[in-house]
Amino acid sequence: MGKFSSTQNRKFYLLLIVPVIFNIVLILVSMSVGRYKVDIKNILFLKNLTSIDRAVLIDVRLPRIMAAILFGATLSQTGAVYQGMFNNPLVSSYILGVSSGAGFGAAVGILFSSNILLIEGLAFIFGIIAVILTLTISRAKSESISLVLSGFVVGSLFQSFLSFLKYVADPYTKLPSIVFWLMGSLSQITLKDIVIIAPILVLLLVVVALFGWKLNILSFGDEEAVSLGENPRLLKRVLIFLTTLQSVIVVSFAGVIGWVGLIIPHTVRFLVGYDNSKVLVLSIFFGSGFLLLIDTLSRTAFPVEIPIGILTGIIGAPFFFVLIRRRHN
Amino acid sequence: MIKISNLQFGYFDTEVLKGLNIEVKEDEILVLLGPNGSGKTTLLKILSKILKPKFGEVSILGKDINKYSISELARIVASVPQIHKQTFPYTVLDIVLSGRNPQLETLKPSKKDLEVALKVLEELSILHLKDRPYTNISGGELRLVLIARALAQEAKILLLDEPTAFLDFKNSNLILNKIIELRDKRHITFIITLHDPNEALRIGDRVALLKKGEIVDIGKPFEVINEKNLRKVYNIDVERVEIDGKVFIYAK
Repeated sequence: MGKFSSTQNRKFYLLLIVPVIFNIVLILVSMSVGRYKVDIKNILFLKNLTSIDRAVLIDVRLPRIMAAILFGATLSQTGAVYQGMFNNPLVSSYILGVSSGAGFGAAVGILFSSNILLIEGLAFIFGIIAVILTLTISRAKSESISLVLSGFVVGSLFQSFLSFLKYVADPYTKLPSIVFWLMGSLSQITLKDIVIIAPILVLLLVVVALFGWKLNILSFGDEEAVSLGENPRLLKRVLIFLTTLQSVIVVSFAGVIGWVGLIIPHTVRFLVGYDNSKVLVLSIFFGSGFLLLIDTLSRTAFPVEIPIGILTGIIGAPFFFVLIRRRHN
Repeated sequence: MIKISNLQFGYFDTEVLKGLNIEVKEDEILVLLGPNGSGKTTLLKILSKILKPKFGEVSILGKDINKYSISELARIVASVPQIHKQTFPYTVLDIVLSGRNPQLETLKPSKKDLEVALKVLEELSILHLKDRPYTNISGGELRLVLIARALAQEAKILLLDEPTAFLDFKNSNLILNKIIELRDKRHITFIITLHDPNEALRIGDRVALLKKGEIVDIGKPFEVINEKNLRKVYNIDVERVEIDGKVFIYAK
């Protein structure tokens, strides 16, 4: 028995250490590469850095790298939570309509102003409004399926509003900004943003991870949760509150980045098994590395920068396909 | 142990339970027998607080069921559902460990909880399955795993909803024998719904015969399960035979 638990734990810690090392190396590489190259040795030993080097590293690359790490971790974890909560391995972080609401809010902001703070603020507010709307509509029935359906309905509604805004937007100035925002990007995040959101996101990641084991109970469905002594409605409310905060922060700062919340939890389950107390922790480290890798590619691999949402899709879809195939064999 | 008086329940406009009165004694196996739609499963769901009674009273260990919190009740009453939807391939040990939920002091099971889960697996002779995905075991093994999960709750009362459904001859006998063994060894009170009168005869200390939400008869199995009662409930003719002091029923 002791042997059993120790081999299981050894696997878990191994799967924890590998992405952490990977992430550290990737951070260094990502700091060094780009249109303006900085020697990786100089970064590592903090030596021989010119003032331009410092400016590029601290003001441009550091916020972006931190954003990629935090947002990748958050999207992966919320995806894993929703998949467990709704008993459905195919739902993503945006299942309750948060991305459509935030997209609409951002479009409103872009139409009437070019103030980035206002755009982010409106995205945040409408993201929350969309989730509240989803919860209100589904309240008549407590079943998970009605929440998923309501999320779908609210998402479609805000999509239509958004399409309307796109239709009336100035096609030369405003429309491209809306479209670009929706594709997702980490290029506009500043160090000041990071200072504010990093502590909040880290705290949320830790708190949500603590609920991992309880999520196993929820994934059996409401009736079995009750007979196992859990109040599923209360637990769901707590988790939806936390994950909505998580996803709306990410969406309002980075736009819509798809696929991360789907492929990372699946990869993690493939490696460590299905116990969510492990999945919610490992998703953090795998997700952060994945998004940092994608973002680094998005700004270095092509002559022009490719929006991150496009790259996650191009890489995510085939990857997911392979994952599903392997699991069935 | 459990006292049910004038219990009524309905979904929308259909009445499912029409004033049930049942008393369940300590350490007994009470079998609920009756056709589909007679309200057996509904009764079990009320006893585990999944459904709320519309009218009437249910008291467990002398306390009204409405006064129990969900986790408090789960330490006394555990249940094994008839249909369990397997969405994620958790390991068998993960599933059994989840039975510890009402007993947890933190958000996660401790070493002691792990020990309880492993002990239960051993008791049901399925310890060798512990690392297998529970989506990848036989129907009989799955039923044992779900029983193990309920046992891990360390509850005094176990509700089993058609524990032999979908099982082959060997496995359903295995489950029935386990139930008797558990009652004798652990002094657990069982309420079990069954479809086969012969199974009810075999394991029941008492049988409650239900039809459309009402009790037709309740008492010792060989008294309740007779030609007249079964004709009344199932609308078919049956014959009873006795072999070596054991009663068997077959449809004519």
